[in-house]
Amino acid sequence: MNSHFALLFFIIGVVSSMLFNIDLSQYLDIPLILLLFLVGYDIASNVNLKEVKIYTLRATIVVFSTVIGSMIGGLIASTLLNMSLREGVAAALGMGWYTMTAPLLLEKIGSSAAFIGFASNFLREVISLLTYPHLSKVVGATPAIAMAGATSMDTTLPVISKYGGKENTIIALIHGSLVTMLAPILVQIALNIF
Amino acid sequence: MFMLVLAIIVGVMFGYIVERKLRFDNLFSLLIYILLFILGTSIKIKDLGKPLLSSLMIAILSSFISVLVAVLIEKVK
Repeated sequence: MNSHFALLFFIIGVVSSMLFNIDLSQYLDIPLILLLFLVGYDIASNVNLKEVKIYTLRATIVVFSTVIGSMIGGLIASTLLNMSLREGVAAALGMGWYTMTAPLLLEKIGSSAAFIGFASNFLREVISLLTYPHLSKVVGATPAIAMAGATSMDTTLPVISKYGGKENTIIALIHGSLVTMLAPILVQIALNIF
Repeated sequence: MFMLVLAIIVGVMFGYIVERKLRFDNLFSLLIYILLFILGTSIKIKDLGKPLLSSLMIAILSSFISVLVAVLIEKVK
């Protein structure tokens, strides 16, 4: 999947809405459920069980950091920007998965929150791609995986692989898979709690 | 939420049953593009000023604090 194309389709949607005054948000459920099914299939295809056993503990520590760090980031951003905690924390707990976070926020809150869910997670992916090569040298290749969130198993994996080596590539795959499974649950929990 | 989690679990099980023989890469990309197009149609351009700043702040803080927590845990360990 190409990030530029993803952004292009989003922009085409915004332009179509302006030109033809259409709103297709009621048709989100089926493509979203199909996408999650394919994500599950992708996880089963990419993660080898023997490698999982060796690196699970290290990957789980990074997953814990990703979840806690994202939640704290969402709380601080919401407070600084004087926006609702529900919106800020739910968007941050998408952990880079913009195609899942934005539809959930659209259904539960509205289009402005959906945009925040999309843009904040898309920007997280971009920030990870741009800064991982430098950050991995400063803080270490394994902790720096936390920044990538769910994207560590797909879009940011090539960068992690190049600058982090084989060991961190496997950790990134496991980390991305676990975060991908947790993200929809955590976003829903954040939407219900705050 | 139940349907979303169920979809992932069924996907994982299906992946192990068919032993990675089927590839859905094009369908995967197509679904993402459809979702983003639908999402785009729900956005009203005049409301985007503040949300863009909020998004940037959330992205920066959540990314870097995640790394900070990971570094702290590594040091404690």
